[in-house]
Amino acid sequence: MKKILLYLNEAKEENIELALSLAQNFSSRLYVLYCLNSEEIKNETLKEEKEDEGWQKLYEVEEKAFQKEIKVSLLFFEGKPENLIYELMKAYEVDALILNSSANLNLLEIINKNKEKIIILK
Amino acid sequence: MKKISEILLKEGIILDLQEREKIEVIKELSKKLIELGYITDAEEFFSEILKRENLESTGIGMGIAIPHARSKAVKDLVIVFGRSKEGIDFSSLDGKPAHLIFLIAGPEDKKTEYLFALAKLSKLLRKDEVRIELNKAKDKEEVLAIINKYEV
Repeated sequence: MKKILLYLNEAKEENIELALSLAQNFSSRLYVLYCLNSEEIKNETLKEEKEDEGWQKLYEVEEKAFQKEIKVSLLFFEGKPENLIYELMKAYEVDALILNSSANLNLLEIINKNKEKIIILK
Repeated sequence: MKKISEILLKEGIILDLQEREKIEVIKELSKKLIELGYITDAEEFFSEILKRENLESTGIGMGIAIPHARSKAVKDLVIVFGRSKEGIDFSSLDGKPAHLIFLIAGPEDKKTEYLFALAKLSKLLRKDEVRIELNKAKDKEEVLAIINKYEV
């Protein structure tokens, strides 16, 4: 498992800790994705708030990864999360995806689009 | 929390970076911090910032890089800025060279402020107009004015 993608939106602490722990144990590169969901962003104020929240969360994970000497890449994108996850997993040849099982996502679509990948729902 | 325009040092702005290679550019920017008296131990600070560069790419894409480090060797949370016409290879995920390089240095005990500054700066630099204007800025005052104008 060389590359792991953590979907950070709605991720709980246990999701983050799992991603860090797996990345550390397998010496994997950890990609951390925060997605501005274009379908949910209704106005500029909400967009500003979500951008603040996203970057803050990304750098918090980055700091934790740095302390554990994990190779990490931060990803901040705007779009439909299901599509972005698929595109990024393909582009970076990610082996495993970690996401919160109660995240507001079409999980079936994610599973169907990434059939050959490991998907960890927690 | 302080605004980016409050911690970006005017004397720490280099509009035409001399160096062309990532590590040398980081050294050039770090040298500014040392000259301005914000670093007590240059070796320790440099070792921290390089340790991070070895673990991750601080090139966040769109022509931007934000090398950063928190260290006991840093007196206060500050930012220095360098611009490169040719661009510097920061191994950004989008494969593009970095033209706007912001180096953030923070003391060990200012983790919250440091993360806040990183987040605010990253968000600010995602705006196309900010990057365009910073690439065109004629002097240090204009750089500060642009940051101040777009900072919410």
